[in-house]
Amino acid sequence: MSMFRYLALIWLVSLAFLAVSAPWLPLASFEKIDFINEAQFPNESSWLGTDGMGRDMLSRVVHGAQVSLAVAIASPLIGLLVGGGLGLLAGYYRGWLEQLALVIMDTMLAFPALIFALLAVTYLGSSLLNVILVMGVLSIPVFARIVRGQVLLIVNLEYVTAAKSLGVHPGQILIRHVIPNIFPAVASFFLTVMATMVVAEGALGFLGLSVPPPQPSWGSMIAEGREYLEEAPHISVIPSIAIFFTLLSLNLIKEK
Amino acid sequence: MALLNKFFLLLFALSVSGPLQAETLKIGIESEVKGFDPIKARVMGVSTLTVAHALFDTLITLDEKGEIVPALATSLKPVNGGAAWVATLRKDVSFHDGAPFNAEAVVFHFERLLNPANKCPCRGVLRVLKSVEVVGDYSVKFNLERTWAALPALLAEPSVVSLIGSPAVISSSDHDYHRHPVGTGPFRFKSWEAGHRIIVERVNNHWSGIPVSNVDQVEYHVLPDQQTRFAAVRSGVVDLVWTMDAPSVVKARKQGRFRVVERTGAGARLLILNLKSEHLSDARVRRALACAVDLDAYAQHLYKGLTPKATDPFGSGGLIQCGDDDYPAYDLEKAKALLKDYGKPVNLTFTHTATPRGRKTAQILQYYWGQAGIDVILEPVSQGALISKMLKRDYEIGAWRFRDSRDPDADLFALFHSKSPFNVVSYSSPELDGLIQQAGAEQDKEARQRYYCQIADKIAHDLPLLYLAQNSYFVIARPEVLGDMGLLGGLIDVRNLSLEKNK
Amino acid sequence: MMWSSWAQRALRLTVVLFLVLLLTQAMTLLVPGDLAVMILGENASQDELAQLREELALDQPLLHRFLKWLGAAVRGDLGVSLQNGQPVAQLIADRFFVSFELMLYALGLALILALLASLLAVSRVGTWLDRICTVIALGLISIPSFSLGLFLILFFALMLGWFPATGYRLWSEGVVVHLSSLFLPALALALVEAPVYFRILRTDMVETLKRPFVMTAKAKGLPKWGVLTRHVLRPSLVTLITVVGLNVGHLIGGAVIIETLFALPGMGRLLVEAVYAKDLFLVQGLVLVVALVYIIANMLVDALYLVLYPQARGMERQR
Repeated sequence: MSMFRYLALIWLVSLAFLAVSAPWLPLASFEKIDFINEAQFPNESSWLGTDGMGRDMLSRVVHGAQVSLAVAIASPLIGLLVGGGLGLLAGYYRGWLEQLALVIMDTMLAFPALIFALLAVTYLGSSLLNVILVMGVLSIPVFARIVRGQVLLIVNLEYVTAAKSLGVHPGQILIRHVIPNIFPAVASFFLTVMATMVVAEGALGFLGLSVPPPQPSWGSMIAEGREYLEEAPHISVIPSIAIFFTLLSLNLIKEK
Repeated sequence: MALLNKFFLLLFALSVSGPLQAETLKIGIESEVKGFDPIKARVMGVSTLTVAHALFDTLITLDEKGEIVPALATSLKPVNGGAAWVATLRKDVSFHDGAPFNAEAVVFHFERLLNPANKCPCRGVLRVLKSVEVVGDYSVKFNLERTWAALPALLAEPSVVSLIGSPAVISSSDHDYHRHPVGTGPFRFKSWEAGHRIIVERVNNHWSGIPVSNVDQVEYHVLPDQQTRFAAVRSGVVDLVWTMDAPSVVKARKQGRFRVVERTGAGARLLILNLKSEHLSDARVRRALACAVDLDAYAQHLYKGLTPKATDPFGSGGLIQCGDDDYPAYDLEKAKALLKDYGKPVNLTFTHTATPRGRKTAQILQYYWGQAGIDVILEPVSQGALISKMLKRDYEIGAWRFRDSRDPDADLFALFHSKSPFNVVSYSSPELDGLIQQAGAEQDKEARQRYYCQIADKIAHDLPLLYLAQNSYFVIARPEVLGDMGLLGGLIDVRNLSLEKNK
Repeated sequence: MMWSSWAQRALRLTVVLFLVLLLTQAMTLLVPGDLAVMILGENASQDELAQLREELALDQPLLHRFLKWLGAAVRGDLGVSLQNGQPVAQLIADRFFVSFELMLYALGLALILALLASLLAVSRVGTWLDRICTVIALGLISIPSFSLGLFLILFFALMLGWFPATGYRLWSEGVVVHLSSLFLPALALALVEAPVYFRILRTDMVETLKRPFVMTAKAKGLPKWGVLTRHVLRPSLVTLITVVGLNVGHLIGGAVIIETLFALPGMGRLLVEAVYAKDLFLVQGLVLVVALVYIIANMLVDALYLVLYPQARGMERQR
């Protein structure tokens, strides 16, 4: 397993590097339309082929990675900070605060995630910032639940109750004892959420509600390839493979 | 042995004599039908009209030369030098509910449309019509504000204006005419499963006397997704489909088994520009938008060469042919120069339909305009939302079309006349108003053509629009479907179709 | 004890439903422009606009509007669609069956696959068979449903021609025809959920296998498969049942994509169209239905849990 984890790490790091340095890399244009070379299979001039409008697939995949990675990193952070904070307080203080938090979390979880995303994007407009915000908000209850669960496990441990009865400031307890202990489980969960975010952004893109053209995104590339599925399946397959490797890598790193 | 021979002979005779059993013809159409009541529907799209075409008749039709052919009316003639037209109606015609078709029914239909209380947007198109009156049991007079050469086309082509339904049913409060239409057409309405299909059945002894084929029932299946529609005709779920998707047509032709019917008609598909918007009010920006697009490449790619580009409102399939036109040719350098001259950075919003075809068009155009230095933001919305936004003038670049009609008067008036409620481009030119008026009134064909060509020139100069491509319609049919499909206006005519199941 | 915890949860779910609906109503506030004008159009008279505003309580505070809408909804009136004037309740009802059937089909397939795979894996714990199942599960978790759907179309529909690529066939056209038109979409959904169920089930079963009563059963000489299915399976279903309940929301969301991809006339596609058309009442109605389905599913799961594990009464179900 460890060799695969190594490969997974390499994939993720390379992807991040390519995404960030994309504007300076010697890639073909991702938006240049070339009707003469449309739907070409991978060949010498176009290593991953071209899409239905003759745009270079390699360049589009790399630029699409920008969107996927931005969402994968930024959205769970929002969830962690807000949701994690909520879960921390709920798990530590309990009582009515916990009940209130549970109701809010249940509400947010009951609201079908994709539908919330659809609504938000329709009314607020589809831009990278909006997609990140929407996904971030959607991950709040998930983090809240997990963190609360982990906190509950820790809070009853002897040394914590001891610290409490000694009158140690709750902030100190949280920072010194609780957070370090829940960190491994939450970090692992963070990777899961990252993977979910990549898929969710892909889903929005597939429905045409993610970042608008000319910026490519993996999900919208897959949707555009749908009508060429018979003659030029690579148009949908290649971004699908990109998502697959990314998800696989995140899942592999998460495994112990 | 002899008996056996006779038996086989009989079988053979039966098989070559052609199909005997009654068949159901299944058609795949693109959008959900809204309904058939002109007041409630307000605007009827191609899908709705395709179904309506089987259920209703019009007073007259026009042949390829634009000459009047009798239908529900045996004659339609101008009187008083063209200040009015008199229609003599066919006798012995009944609506599907048994009510008689007569002058009262016709007058009822038009009065309902003209009644201000009903607020029909069609009143704009009917502006020249002062009133419609009964002058005999089977005689109707159309009184006009002035001469109107476009009246026959308006009465001939299926639209909210021309399809005449049974008055008794329309006025009845128990009967939902909108969802249960009653007309005089060769088929009567049978059932409607919302979002799925509409079924109509053949009427025997239709007044037109057309020979009854073996198709006694037609099902219209709503299949909005292009791929699904094509797959449906390939697998035989439906017998034929209406489509505008060039790749499907190319695939169908390659496979060889299908019958592909095509028509490139009059009119054009275009983009409209909101002249009230900041940048678009400047002619240089509009001209730059036009020059930046390589329409030949666009048409070649999007329509696989099956549909020519458009450079005037009339199209190569129309009755008006103007020859040379002034519409700007593809010239990227010119576009850049114009923008430089304009000076300010230009960004615009292009509102388009959220369909694969709409998105492709949008991205291609966005790229071309980007090359010239114009930043275009894409705004995908549903078809209904697009129409609604345009009617509210809440857009910058939108989409429009001039229909495949024998007469351009209605569409040109609708979009460009300053008094038209559909003038969503906010275009106001007294000169053009005058030309449209004169062209509509002029009865001499050649003079009309001259006026229209002048109109086209003016539009090509002022550029309240950007042409894209002409109106091409396709039908992909299984080989068993025989008969002439018509396709005027993009509407499939089912009355002559038959199914040869022995193939 | 059992009653109070069940009642507590029921109360909480009701509050949740209320809040979800309120939230949806609040979203309509985000719509720029006058709602009455949007519905009646520009040509409406001031009287008509005023009348509609009163009917919909547009000038009232949000809560008032919401209660009005709720009151109508309880009577089955969810308003009319802005796109075509049809009653929202009717539009949703027409499409509900398709989505519901798709989800059940997918859930069934997912559970069957997960069950078979985990029984297989656990019967030979640690061997290559177990390893392969786990790897496949990992792989499937890493494929998004829309990609999976496209691949299924590519192989089974376009290349092999075994199933239709897109489109929906009615029951009336034949049971086999109908089920095969839903097979690929259901499979696409199922293959996304199945690996998750598999992993949970397998982990729990491995845990259960270590319990003393299993050792006893084995020592008694009971056949292996019998032990697995009759004794090991039931206690291992705990987490799975919980997860299935929670996953209903995920399934509903997945259905939206799959319905779009396979052009099925379900609620998911209706929602996407309604969102694009800014058809507010239709969106509200759909969200109501979806939230209800989620809540009812969770309640059913709770009930199922209590039925299967009567000894759990009185204990809060671990979430």
